[in-house]
Order: sequence, then C-alpha cells, then structure tokens
Amino acid sequence: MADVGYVQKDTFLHRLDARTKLVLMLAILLVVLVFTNPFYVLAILFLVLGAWALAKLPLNMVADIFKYFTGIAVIIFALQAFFYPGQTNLLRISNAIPAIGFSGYITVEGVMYGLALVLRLVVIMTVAPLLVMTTPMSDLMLALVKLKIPYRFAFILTTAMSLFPSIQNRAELIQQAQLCRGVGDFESGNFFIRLRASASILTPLILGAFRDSQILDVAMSSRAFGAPVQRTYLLESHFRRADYLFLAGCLLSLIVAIILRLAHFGVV
Amino acid sequence: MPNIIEVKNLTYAYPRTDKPALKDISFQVPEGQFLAVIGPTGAGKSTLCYCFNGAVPRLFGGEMSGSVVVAGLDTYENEIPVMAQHVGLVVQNARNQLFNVNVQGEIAFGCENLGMPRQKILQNLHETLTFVGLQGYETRQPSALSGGQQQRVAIACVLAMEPDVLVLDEPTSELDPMGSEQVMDVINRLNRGLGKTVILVSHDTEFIAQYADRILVINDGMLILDGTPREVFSQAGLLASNRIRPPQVSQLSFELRQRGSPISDIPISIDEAVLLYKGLHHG
Repeated sequence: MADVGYVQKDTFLHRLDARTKLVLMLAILLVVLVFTNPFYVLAILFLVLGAWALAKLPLNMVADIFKYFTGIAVIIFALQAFFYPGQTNLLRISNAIPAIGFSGYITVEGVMYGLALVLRLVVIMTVAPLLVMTTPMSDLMLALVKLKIPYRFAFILTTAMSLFPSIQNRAELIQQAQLCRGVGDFESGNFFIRLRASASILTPLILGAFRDSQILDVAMSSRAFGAPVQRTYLLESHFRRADYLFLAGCLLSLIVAIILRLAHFGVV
Repeated sequence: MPNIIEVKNLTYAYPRTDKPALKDISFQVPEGQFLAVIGPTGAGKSTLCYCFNGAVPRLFGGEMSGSVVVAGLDTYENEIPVMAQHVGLVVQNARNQLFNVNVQGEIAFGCENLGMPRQKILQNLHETLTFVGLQGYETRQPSALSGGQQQRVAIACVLAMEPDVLVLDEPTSELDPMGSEQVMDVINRLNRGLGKTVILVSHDTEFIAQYADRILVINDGMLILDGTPREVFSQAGLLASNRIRPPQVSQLSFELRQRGSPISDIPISIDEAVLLYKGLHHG
C-alpha cells in the first residue's frame, strides 16, 4: 500500500495542518460555485495554479488533466453555448428549433456561462491534488477524525485510496501473465477484441481482490480493529499560527466573495 | 506451567462444504511452550491458526463445534479484537497484512486500536523494531521492503500489542534462505528471550527439530501425532505416509538403517548426526 500521489517536499503548503487544507479546498470550491462570470473563475484558477507552484507540485500534471478533459470540456461548453437561455445574440445558427429548446442563436451569456462551467470543473480537478499531493494519507485520516468523522469511515476512505496503486500493479501483472499465455490482444484496433481481452484481466483481478479482502479482514481484526475501547493515535496534529492566519484568510475571502456576489459582481 | 490454550473436540467446516477442515481436535498448550504444527498442504493448518483468535468461525462463517479457550477466554464468547490482546496472529501472506503507509503507522495500528497511551505506543514501537532488527525503518513503505523484512514487520505489529501467544502461519514459505533465517531467529527469540508462547506452522523441519518443544502433526483435518521433535521425527513411516519430510539428517539415518547400518536412535540435528556417524566410523 502506498501514499497515493503524495509528493514529499518541504513547502508552506506541506507544513499546513491537513484540516486547514481541507477548509481551504472547501472555500475555493464554494467561491467558484458562487461566481458565474468566467473571468472571476479564471482568476481563482490562477490562484490555484499559483498554489501548485508554491507547493512545488509537478505542473505537467495540470497539462495531463487538461489533455484528458478537453473532449468533455468541448461538449459541456457547446451544450451551454447552444442551449443557455441568453438575451444578447452573438451568432445566428439556424431557425429556432423549439422542440429541443434551441433559439437559433448562440448568445453571449451562453458562451460566458459555458466557459465558467468548464473553468469551474478545471478548478475542482486541480484543487483536489493540492490537498492529496501535499498531505500524507495518515495525516489526512487524522484530520478527518479530528473533524469528528467516525474513525471507521476515515480509515475506509484513506485505505481505499491507498489501495489503488496496488490494484493497478496487479492488473499489469495479470495482463503480462495473460500475454505470456497468448491470451488477449490488448493492442488491437478492434474495440470488441480489446473488450474481450480486458475480460481476461478483470476476472482474475476481481476474484483476487475478493480473496485479498478476506485476508485483509483477518489481518485487521487480528490487530484489534474495532476494539470496544477509545482509540488512541500515535500521530499528533497541532494548529500553528500559520494555520490560524490561513483559516482567517480563507474565511475573510469567502465573506468578501459572498458580499461581492450579493452586490451582483461576478455574475453573467 | 498452567495451560494458556485449551482446544477441546474442535470440529469445523467452511461454509458451502460438507467435508470438515478440522475434525475432533483436542490439545492443550502450557504457557511458554514452543509448539510447531506440521502437515501437508491442505491439511488444515491455516484453519487451525484462524481458530486461536476466533477468525474461524467469526469471519469465515461455517459450522464449528467444540471449544477453543485462550488465556481463559473462549473464542465463542469474545470478539476477535478482544482475543487479539492475548493472541497475535501473523497470517500467511505478509504483503496482504500490511496496509498502512509506513512501518511506523503499521506497528502503531494495533496499539492505537487497543487504546494504548501515546507514550506507550512510542515505547513499544521502538522496542519491537529493535527486537526484529529493523531500527530506522519507521518511515519506510511496507510494500517496498523485502519479503523477510515484511514478515518481520508483521511480527513486530502483533508483538507491539503485547500478546501472550503468537501464532505464525508459514512465515518463511515465500522467503529466500537469508530472509528465512532472520525471521526464524526472531521467532526463536520470541520464545526463548521473551518467554512468549509460540505456535508455528512451518515446513522447515530442521528449524523445528532444533527449537520447538513439541510438534503436532495434522493431516486431513485430524491430529495424527503429538509429541516432542524426537518422538515425531523418529516415526519415519508415519511421516512418509502423511507426506511430511523429516529433517534431512533424520531421513538419511533412516535410509542407512534400512540398508543395515546399526543405528538405534535417529538423530534430529546435525550435531547429533555428527556424533552418531563418528561413533559408527570408529566402531
């Protein structure tokens, strides 16, 4: 089991308490949901990317995220651009088609809203690694417990996350083993042949996972998981001054954002 | 010595099977004993291991009759986490029983679950890591360790919980000779040094002959033989019919005896064999 995604560095963000980072993440998510103006959301995106740089996280990962997201982003943007009920006509496409709710025009509001929606999703995708990549899984679990999330739940959440790499490893092993036996054409251009081939990985993968989970169950119980006593924790987490200042900053920004929104700033 | 383990008429069948995995097994283990369990693959050795902390039948389901009492606690009446304070179980596959992000978290896990104070956990962490010879490995990732190191971490994990009994299911079956030797050394010191009651399932009959106080031979879910290493390993025919390989020196001596060498007592260790053959040579 591994510390998924954790990038060990000694930066300001790494040193912050995991709870502070959780609050920061929630604050950013709230703020991007508040504004519908893409320029506001873009500003927040730059803030998040700035934090990536500050935490010395690999920026080429952002490029990867963009690469995988482009297709979906285009669809989301197009849907909004075509169907958002805007007032200011930008481009005439055809006659109105009421049956599908299309006015015949692409509107300025539609384009803006579509852009904002896409940018929001980008923020959501880039803000999560900011927490996960700067926080060891054990600290994250402790933070959840300190935030009164039941230990059992916090444990399951963090353990499930840390199981991903080992499942991935096993899948690769199985694929190699199957290839050695001449089973499966994983590179085939034909979708159905590839689908059949992936079944030859999935079956042993799932069966193996079931068997492992039973052994894991025995191993965990044997180490008194779920004992009817108050659990203690070896790791400690303390709020430092930076955490308090940072939290205060988050709260302040959130309030300012809401006031701005109430004053109709940042809305299309 | 009082008995720390009492197994009485234990019979158990896994769910959806008619054939019991364990059949009417009874034995007692005095405190501080080093008990080895041997038998061919599929004999029911692992199943027996799971009985000591109640994983059988609690986690596996199935039908169990008879009783298993460890440190005065009946596995039928006490949950596994309660039993875990008295019985430390190291299951067969080391990789699957390590699920924390680093060695420190791994060893602390059981102690935390038992609600040990933080200072005590730190102390046990230090002591057990030193005991298994892995000081300085606190922040290492368990999955990145060698097989032997993983196995020693797994032992440290249960040892840190301060159990009276340690049950180890084939701890060296997947290890290279070097790794095996280090793990076996730890197991020996658990018993001789710390005075823990040890139950070891293993195919390493050389090690067992040298260090175990007593051996249970199990085959087809039944207790075939219960005796000291000397008593057990001199029963060549019985061992062969149960597909168990005795120590090589014992096997060699049988073969020689069958071919007419005047060997009366079968040696079970190299030292004994050396003495015996020196005598034969000079006589």
